[in-house]
Amino acid sequence: MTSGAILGLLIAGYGLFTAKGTALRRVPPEDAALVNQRPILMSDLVAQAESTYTLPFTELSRAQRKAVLASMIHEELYVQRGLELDFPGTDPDTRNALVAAVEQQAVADATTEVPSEAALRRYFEAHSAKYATEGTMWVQDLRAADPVAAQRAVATLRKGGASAQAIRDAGLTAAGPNRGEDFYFAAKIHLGDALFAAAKALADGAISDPVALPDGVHVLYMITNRPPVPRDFARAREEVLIDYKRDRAARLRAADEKYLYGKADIQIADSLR
Amino acid sequence: MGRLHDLARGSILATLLGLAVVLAAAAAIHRHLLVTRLLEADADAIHRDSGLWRFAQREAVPLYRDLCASCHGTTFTGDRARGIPDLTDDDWLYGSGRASEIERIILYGIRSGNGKGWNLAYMPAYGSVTSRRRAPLDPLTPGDIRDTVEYLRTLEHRPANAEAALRGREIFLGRGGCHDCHAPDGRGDAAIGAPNLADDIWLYGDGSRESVFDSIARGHGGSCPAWTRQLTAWQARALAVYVAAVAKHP
Repeated sequence: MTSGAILGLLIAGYGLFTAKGTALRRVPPEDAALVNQRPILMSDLVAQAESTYTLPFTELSRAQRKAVLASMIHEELYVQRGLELDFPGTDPDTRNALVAAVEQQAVADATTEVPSEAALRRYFEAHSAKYATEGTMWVQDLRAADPVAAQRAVATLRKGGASAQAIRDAGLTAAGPNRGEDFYFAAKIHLGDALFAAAKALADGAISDPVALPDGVHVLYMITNRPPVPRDFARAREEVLIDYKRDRAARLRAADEKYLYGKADIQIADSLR
Repeated sequence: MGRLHDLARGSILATLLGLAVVLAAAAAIHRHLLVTRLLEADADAIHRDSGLWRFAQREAVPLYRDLCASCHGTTFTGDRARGIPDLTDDDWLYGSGRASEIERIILYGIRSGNGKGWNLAYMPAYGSVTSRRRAPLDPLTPGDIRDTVEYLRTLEHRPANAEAALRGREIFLGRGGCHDCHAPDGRGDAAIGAPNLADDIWLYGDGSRESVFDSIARGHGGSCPAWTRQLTAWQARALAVYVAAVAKHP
């Protein structure tokens, strides 16, 4: 029994002090090669080779396949060498790429999750205004000589209609080009906040009250106004899913950050605290 | 006598146990060999090997049910309301439906956040200020979009307003930048996932003026997850072979 125990200890000791980790001596079937035990995936070789030669992999010659594999082995070797040289610690391009890749991983995790319909519906209901159709309007932005002229013009047009002649006769001029129908977001950019707020409230054919701005007194003639219409969940679902996953990715990134900061030992120079 | 009886029973049990172990080992080895063959075979030719194909199918069915069916449906026909492709129509956004191409999509996804995935193409929202966010594309007016819709109808040989279609053609080939992804003839580009606009297969909606307007105005950017961390290489291979076969023989 004693000799058995000693033999066992000797074997364990040998294993402990000579351990190199598990090394594969045969390339696994899903890999094209092992470079210092790091795999180059067969599927990656196929994709790279097909991209290089724009031919299906099965139609490539042995020489072509070997050429692509050689370039991938070269890349892997240099990546490993870059790690040995601590490029992630020193080279700005490598560091930027690593940061982007780690941040992207949160997106990948969020994309893989399949949210329940109930969760998507809750999200939709919490943000339903965002999923309305984009409103459109066709509005003419007109300018009067002064506030009195503006009031007179508004009264005239409201009584007799807003044909092109009537507008001219009322002493109004175009304050900008006639852009035709615009989406609400574009109309807001073109008109500015004050005029857009006035325009939104107008029905088809309506004339606004005068709006005094630094560049003059404006009067709006609404030709057609189609406000945003709420969309139902079914129609908005794709956008809801995209936004849900984007928010989820942002939360995952924030959680990653909290975790990294939480376990990191960060010391800051006195002068920068 | 009793002792003899116990010995005999013990021997039978040991034999049965031994046999069970041997059978289990044989089954495991057989399975391992099948997995190895599956991985070493040309993905696009596996369907010609009946034994390998049966193994792939057997393994893929529960995987499809658990991972893919929630989007692509139990009948593989997708969902046009959600922009989920029909896997049975043999019309492919990416590649040409080969198992090796499907395998990469399963592994690395589409707009999945995985660096090896198909992340290049997305449909901008032309009826939004955000169209400029990712590409230098100016928003289009509602009139521009309607004109483009009319032009697209001519590509499909459907009735369209001729004047509007002419204006739409200029937008498609010019400032809209549509031709850049969908190709000047509108037939798309499977190298980047840009759909063919000249056929009657729709990823979203029903091809009506309203739904096409919606697509152009609001944009699209559906995604397929990267399953590379959830699936082993051979599971992804089995699933790809299965889906490729379903597409050809729905």
